[in-house]
Amino acid sequence: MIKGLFANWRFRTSHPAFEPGQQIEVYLTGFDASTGRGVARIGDSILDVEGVRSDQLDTLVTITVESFDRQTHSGAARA
Amino acid sequence: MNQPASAETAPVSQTTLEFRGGKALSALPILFFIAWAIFQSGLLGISATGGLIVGMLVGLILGMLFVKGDWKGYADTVFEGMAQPVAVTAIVAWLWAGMFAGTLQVGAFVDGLGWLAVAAGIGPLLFPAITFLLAALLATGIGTGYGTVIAFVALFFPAGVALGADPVIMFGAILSGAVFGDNLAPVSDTTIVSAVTQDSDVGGVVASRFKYAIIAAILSLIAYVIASAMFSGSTIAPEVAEAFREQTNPAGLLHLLSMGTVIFTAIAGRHIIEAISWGLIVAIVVNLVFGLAPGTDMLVFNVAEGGWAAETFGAWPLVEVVAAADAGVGGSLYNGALGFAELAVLILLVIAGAQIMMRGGAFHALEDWLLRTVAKTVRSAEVVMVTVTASINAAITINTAAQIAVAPYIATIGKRFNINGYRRANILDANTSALGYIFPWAGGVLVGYTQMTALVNQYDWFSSDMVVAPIQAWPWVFHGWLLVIVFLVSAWTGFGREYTTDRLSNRSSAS
Repeated sequence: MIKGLFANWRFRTSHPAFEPGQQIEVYLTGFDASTGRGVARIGDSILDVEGVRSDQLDTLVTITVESFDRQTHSGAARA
Repeated sequence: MNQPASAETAPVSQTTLEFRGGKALSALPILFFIAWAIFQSGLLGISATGGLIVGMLVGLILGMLFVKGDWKGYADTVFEGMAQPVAVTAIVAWLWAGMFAGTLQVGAFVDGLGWLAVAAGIGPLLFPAITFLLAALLATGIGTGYGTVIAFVALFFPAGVALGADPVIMFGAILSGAVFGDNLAPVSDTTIVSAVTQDSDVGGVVASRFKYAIIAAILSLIAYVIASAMFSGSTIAPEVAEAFREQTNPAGLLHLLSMGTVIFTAIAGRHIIEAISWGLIVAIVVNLVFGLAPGTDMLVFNVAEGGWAAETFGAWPLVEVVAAADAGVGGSLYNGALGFAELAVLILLVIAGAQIMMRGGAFHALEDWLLRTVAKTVRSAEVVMVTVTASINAAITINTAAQIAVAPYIATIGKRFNINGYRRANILDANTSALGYIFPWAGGVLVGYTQMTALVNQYDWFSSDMVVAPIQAWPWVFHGWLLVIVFLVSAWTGFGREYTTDRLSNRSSAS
């Protein structure tokens, strides 16, 4: 419990980074019906997500990061 | 009992309401209620929750007049709003918290805290700072900021003034303590609403918000010592200080055990109903075993004299024979739970009004506007979350009601940036708690003022010029202001920020 009180005393970046192969659970924050692709925005980092449906918008989905560019803070992932 | 899911995940129908005058008119019931609250409590100085219930009812009726087509959809939406788990969860928790708070009060807990202050020899320089600390401690234990304000204005305020502390600073310190407890207490209604609406467990939100609360509290403590050194208070006759000492009772400190039971069980992740029930059982046992309060202080059946019931049951435990006019049920369990009855009705109506606004599209229009034009980065999104929560709470008397109305915005904006449930709940709750005790129409300020005016009749030495008017308090609620500032700085710098990818908020009690 004490550990919980003193956890996360840190400054977290606006641009979190991810590693290829990393599995993460995120809210699907956008969906483009014309391309059938989704977007997961984590802070100001953007992941283009394949293999999701429109009804998954604003819900938690488990995705696997395929690539991530630390310069542009963007990458691709698959559900 | 499992914690119900949040409003966002509850199965609700997708009725859409159309209003004459456009989507904005669906905000009429809530806006009318806010205007009513400002008029009633801000301008007229009436803090009655019952009056706000009428304001919300009239607002709901006015809104209906602008609905296009069949009004049945509007009526159905009112029911749909009231049936959401979020309000029911909060109401159930208030009933439990009310019983617990009342039982600690009859068990002389405040007198125990007072004994500690006197034994430590606290003078006018430190009295406001210590009052802030003790009020924070009590509010954290019992979870009711209003109850804390009432208890501390009744006991600590005259003592502090009697010892030479400045009355306005004393009132500010008490309100600050209430803010601290409202924000941090596991049993606080705002804590529970913040957790439930942001898909989080109560233990997790309390643990994660400790860092913001303690930073603001340490700065507030220092500020109260400095302010006390700068402003000399009134000097009062020594017999007043003596009267205060006579009221204190070290045995009341035994209820630290009851408080600790609730805090530790809640932080350990047990359901809040379970945590408070254990705390309540400990409090009742402590009261009875150590003679702090008889059973009838906690529950009493007052039977009318002269009747069959009085003759048959008059000698039973927890039964007292009284004059016919005084017949009824009483005690801390009864009074504590019943104290929230009006607020429970108000909350049901306010979330019905909020549901109308959602189905009518005004919520979405505002959300879309905020997301499109203001909240473009995670930093600006968090600043928007802080300022919107603070602004709406500044306008509404009962901060829990404001919190429930704004909670869906916070969830939506936060999720768009994958800000996790704990961070969202912390932004929502800190700014809700802070603004509920600052402005002159805020419920916390009004209950304190009401209690203070009663002191004039209670003590010969307490003159009406010692009463702090509601409008005087706002600059001195240091913890409230500092909590808002801490969150603005945190939003800007990323201090304490957590994404869903760092940690998902734990809803294990719901699964």
